[in-house]
Amino acid sequence: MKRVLQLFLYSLGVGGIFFLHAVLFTIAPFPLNSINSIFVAMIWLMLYTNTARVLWLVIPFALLTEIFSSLPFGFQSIALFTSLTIVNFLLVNFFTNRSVYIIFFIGLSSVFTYHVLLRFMLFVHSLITKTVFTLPRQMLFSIMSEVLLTSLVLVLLYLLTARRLKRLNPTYLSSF
Amino acid sequence: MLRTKSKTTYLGIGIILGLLIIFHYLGLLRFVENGLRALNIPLLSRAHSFSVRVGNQYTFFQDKESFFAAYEQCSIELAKQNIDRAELALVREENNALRKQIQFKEKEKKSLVVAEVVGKEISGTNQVYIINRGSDDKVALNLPVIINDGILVGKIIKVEKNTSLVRLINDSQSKVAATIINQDHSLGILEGGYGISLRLNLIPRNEVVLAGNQIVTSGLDPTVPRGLLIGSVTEVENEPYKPFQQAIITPASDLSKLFLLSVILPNS
Repeated sequence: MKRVLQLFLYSLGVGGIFFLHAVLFTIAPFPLNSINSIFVAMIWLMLYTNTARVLWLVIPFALLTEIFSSLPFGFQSIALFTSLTIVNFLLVNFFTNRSVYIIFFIGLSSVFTYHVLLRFMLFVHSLITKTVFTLPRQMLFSIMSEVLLTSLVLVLLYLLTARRLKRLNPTYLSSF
Repeated sequence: MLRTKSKTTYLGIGIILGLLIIFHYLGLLRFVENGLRALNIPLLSRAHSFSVRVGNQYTFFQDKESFFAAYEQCSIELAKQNIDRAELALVREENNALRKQIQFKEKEKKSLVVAEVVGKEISGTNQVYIINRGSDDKVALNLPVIINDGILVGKIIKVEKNTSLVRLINDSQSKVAATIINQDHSLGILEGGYGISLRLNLIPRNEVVLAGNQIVTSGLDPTVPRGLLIGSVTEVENEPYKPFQQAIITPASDLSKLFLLSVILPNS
């Protein structure tokens, strides 16, 4: 019963984040529609739980984004999984200090890696299928704004929830 | 050093994702994908219609003056209107769009499939819409998508059972063979500019193109019939050092607020 409830809650959470991502993208004006809620949620969860288990959530997110995408199936999943795995690896093994700079850097590097991987795969795909691969200036601008804004939102969310994330830090102990 | 537990997780997820991709291409995931689509489409559709209703007015407020001017305008309009009238206007608009599409269908003797826009593609950088018609409704790849009485807005780029993806003509990957209604009936390739502009390229330099000339489909594209309106010329760039001239095109419809589209099916 507990497992079923847990699964239901996870599904609800994933669905909610995906819907927020879709709604932000559809309704919000530029530059707010550049915020990648999936990355914000995933990295925040990684910071909160400090384990690689969170990465399992990549599977439903990848499947949901793929079914509403015009890109060849699998490209976004691979880019999402690889970029978040790199982030998790960095967070667990190198950037163990959770400073604002680290969070900002993690946000930047994750979304940037995601786009680099995605564009690289699209480039290879265009070579194989003999189609034209374009990367216009406006697209680069859009990607850069997504990278920056997602990192900023992540930092803001982190600052808002830092007390719970750093609950073992002596400076925060008095609040518990 | 990688922890064994993390390593197992990375490997496990990688294997599952790999299997999902293989299963997708083998067609074994169709049931799951269709189910997920069916679950999400009503929500996405509501979000999209809300965004169309609200419009993109906020993007115009680039300075304080324009904001106040728009605010005054809104106040005047608000006094005249109420919710019932707004709803009525929406229904009337939908009705008009449908009537125009029926007229086009009867006039041109073409088979159309009317589809509702249920959302935008979520990957972000493309001008791609999701519509609620798919292979079950005979929608196929590369078919033209129109609004009203024959205004081309895009082409089908992906077809699923009950949904399809439409690449708008202003997408950077979009290419449509077009002709200008001028003395020379100049031909060119219409290309999108990342949702911002439309350009008609490869127009011979010696042909006269004027601002205001209308652009229609040329019929050279095998799936797109000749004569579908695209827009009109706003500016012509004819540089002496370039082999071709190009024209900047204003689309005949607002491509950011589409809600009802028609896919033109092949006559056979």
